[in-house]
Amino acid sequence: MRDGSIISYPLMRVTLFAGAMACSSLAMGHTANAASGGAAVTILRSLSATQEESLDFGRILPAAQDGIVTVRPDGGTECSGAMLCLGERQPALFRLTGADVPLAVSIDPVVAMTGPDAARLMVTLLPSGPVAMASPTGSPYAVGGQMIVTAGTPPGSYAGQYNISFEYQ
Amino acid sequence: MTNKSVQALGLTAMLFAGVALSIEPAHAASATGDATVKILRAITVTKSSDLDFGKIVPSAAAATVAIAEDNSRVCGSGLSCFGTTTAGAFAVVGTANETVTVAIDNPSITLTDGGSNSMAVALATTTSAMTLSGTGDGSFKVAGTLNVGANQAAGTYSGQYAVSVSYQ
Repeated sequence: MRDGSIISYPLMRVTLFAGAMACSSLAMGHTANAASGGAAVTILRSLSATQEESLDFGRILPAAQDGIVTVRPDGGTECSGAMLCLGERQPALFRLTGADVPLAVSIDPVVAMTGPDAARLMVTLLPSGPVAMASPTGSPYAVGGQMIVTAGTPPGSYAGQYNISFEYQ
Repeated sequence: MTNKSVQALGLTAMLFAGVALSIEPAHAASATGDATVKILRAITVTKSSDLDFGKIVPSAAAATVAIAEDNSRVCGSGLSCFGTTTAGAFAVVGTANETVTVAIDNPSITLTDGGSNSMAVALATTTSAMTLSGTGDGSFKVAGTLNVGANQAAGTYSGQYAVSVSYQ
């Protein structure tokens, strides 16, 4: 919620109007000092978030020493040490549809990816920032990640899920 | 307020309640993100058979002996070739269903008899890339062409070559 604004919906506004009418009719017959008050409301479009692309670290061939692979929100990637990083790597991409106002972002800091025989790889998520913007036609918000791949990481496909939420400020 | 008007208000309230249930405006939205990676198995390459040109009796003129990937031999003019011949063969183990590239690191090598005599060999393979099987297995062969000199000195000649297999 922005300073000085009240988030409301048409349904809520009608209900308040009906309540005001009832109070007015109850006050009839009494004498009171007159006053006027201001009222304002900001109606916001309903907010939705949809994942369009998954966070993908591609294919990795571990080396004798541990390595770090990074996929930044801007799409840049890094692969440290002798570890071999292959294939397409990309950040996650969410489409935010709603009012063109700032959104507070909250996201799981870490996601565990599970592979063969319950082997796990821990990914530190790298969101674009603490604030996102939505738009009526949909605006992108990217999430990168970073993880350590040890020499003994069992080969196989790993996958995991994390939660991310956006809220009007 | 009459009973009829009370009923009307009740109906109106129900209608509002129905509308409120059907509209679900959201001031916040949550989503589930997916993260994936594929960890590859280190590739191992093991020699299955040496490239063997068999036995050759040279002639007064230089000629070549070629061994194809199917182990067949083409013996150059004037030479006498006999004995078993085999192409070089290698077994590959890696990650299932991954595509790998194959290269001969040194396609031109020299066979020597341990002394001062030598012969040149040109190596080749028709497998530049392949997809490993569902169990991660693959194989490829290496053909060779041996240059036998005129009156090549008798002896057993040998040499080595290296191959590389890499994930694409």
